[in-house]
Amino acid sequence: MSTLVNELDKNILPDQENNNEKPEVSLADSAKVISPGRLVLRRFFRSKLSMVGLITLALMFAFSFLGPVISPWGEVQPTGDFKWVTSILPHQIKVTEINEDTGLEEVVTYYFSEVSDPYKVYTKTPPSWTHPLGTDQYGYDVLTRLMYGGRVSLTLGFIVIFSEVIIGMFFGSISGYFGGATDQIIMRVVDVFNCLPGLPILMLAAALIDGWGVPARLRIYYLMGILTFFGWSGIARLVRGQVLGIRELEYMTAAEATGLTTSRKIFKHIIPNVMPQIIVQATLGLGGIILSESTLSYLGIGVPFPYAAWGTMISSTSGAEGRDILQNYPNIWVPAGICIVLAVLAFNFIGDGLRDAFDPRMRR
Amino acid sequence: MRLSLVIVKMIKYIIKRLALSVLILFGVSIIIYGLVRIKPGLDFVQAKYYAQMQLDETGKVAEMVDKQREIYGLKSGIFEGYLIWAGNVIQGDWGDSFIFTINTGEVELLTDAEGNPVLDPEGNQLTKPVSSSNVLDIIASKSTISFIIALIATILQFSIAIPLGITSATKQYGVVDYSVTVLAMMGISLPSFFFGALLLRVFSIQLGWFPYAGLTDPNSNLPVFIDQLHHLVLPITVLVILSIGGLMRYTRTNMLEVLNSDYIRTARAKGLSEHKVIYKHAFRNTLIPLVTIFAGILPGLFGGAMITETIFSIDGIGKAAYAAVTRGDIPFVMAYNLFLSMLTVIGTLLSDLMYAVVDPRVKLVGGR
Repeated sequence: MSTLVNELDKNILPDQENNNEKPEVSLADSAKVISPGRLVLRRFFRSKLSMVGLITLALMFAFSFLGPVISPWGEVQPTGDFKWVTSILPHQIKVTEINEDTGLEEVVTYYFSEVSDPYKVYTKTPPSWTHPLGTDQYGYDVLTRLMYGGRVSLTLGFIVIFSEVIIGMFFGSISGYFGGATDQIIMRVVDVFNCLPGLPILMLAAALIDGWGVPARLRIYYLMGILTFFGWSGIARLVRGQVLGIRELEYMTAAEATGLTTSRKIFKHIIPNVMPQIIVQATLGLGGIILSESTLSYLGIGVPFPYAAWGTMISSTSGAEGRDILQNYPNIWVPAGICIVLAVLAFNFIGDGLRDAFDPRMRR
Repeated sequence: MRLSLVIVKMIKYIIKRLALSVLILFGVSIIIYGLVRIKPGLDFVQAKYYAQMQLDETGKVAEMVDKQREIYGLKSGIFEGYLIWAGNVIQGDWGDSFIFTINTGEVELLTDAEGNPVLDPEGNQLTKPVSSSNVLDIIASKSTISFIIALIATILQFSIAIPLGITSATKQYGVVDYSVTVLAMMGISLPSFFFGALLLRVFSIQLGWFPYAGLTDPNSNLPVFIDQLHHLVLPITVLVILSIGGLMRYTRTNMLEVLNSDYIRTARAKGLSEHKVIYKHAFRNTLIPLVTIFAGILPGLFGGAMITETIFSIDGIGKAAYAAVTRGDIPFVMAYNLFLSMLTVIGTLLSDLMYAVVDPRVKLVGGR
């Protein structure tokens, strides 16, 4: 806590000068004691980049969670321009029948067309006042889908990172605290997870849920499970490293001497001291999770159609009308990309700011 | 310490690390096989050939499916099945891809039913090219182009990131530093599929500077090599920009750490020029932690880039893996995942060993 001392020094110095003039004020009264928590917050808010990140994130949350309330359109409500189309399916059948004139059997070919009832075909529309970002090839309002996509990405990111932290903290602290065989086993499992290729294994798992017959609405929960399952090992390793260091500190010996139970020692005395590193890691990890989710959605094995996701919106550039959308309708895919970049950047800025605030010596 | 002692220690260390690597690969293979097996209902071979089996009357497809299921141990329980599959993998039989076939380049001599060579009218022996669906053959043939792309990208990445990282460390909080930090962040935050689409939109469609997709253009009048390089500019740009950020930050952090150390202060106190301090004393020491980066490079070099290759339609291993996932070619995907994990394990092993070689302060005790 050398930083705390430094801060205090700064506050004391001017007061000491005052003391020379007014000796009746004691040092203890004038020196402002700042709690470590407030110190961290103050350092965090002083950094410009982390403020930029925080404001961006707040705007994104407002956009994704309040936006749909205001928007007149729904997530899967076709509202764009459409035309009525009837499809005509030509048929021909050959029938053997008896010619009434000659009385002989002959093959007669009949031609007929099957005309369907008229149905709506939606077209892409450029931005207009009713649709600020236009509509996509299914007639959905792009701006509204952007908001719903944000809901998915942000919610999923937070739930996944929260589960990862819980699992990682559990295994990491057990491993670091007990050491020995427990540590060996848990760490080898962590090694295994670290050696798995990131995207390919996620793709394999996500593609396999297709075969499970999971309903589209529930698919996102499976996705969360997959992302958590393949993501917790990093946090476990971090926690274990920290716990190893903390275990050797004097205050842990004191905790031992007072006869505290193991779980109390871990959860009350060790975990709170690892929390800063975990928070930083989790914030930085959130960006990565959003990237993974949008990549899976882009590949068509993430959030399923017709539900909106940023990745899916960009994947329209590689579909059947891909070239056309890529060339003529940037309003459909560019905003989604910008949203992903902004969200990931915001989390990275905040994470960096938090790391510097928690421990200025680690400043990068 | 005597040299022989060092060597003995080194060998012991290597053996220990090798044993650990085998253990890790064992775990990886369990996860991959488990993932494939926990799916309820039809297994992947049956699912792939379901339609064909319904139409097939001769029973040939059913026979083939049966044989395939045997290879992956799908007919037994999950534990027994794993042992069968793992046994096959260890013996080098990684299975056949469902969707890819390649020409191995070898030729087979044609013979008729009695084993006599078939001759053409001029008396030459007739041959036919040997094709293979073996996943290892396919990985080997498809990873060549991926390797070339990744190699160029990696060289570019290092030659740009290290100087920039050093500059931003020596001029901390300067203009260069801030722009490098923000650019690095941008690179980390950009999704490859979005960046690729943007580049295509701007440089290929709008400006027409670079071709839209593929690796060669039959209508091009450029020499083949130049034409291929021309096609590779955009994909390599994507790879470099996206991976440069991490390396730049890493170099910067290391450099800052070294610059704050005592021996740099000593060097400055001796009155050495700043140039000498940075490039002779500091820079060499920043190279040590960079060695660990090799662990991450190895899978990148041989494993291809799934998204980038798919966007730019480059027929490398990454695009193949993507096609395999979307078309249910589980044997290839399993092999690909296993292959990448092996590369990671080897990369980690190499980087640990290199760390010990490069930095004499590292003691060879224990695994971790």
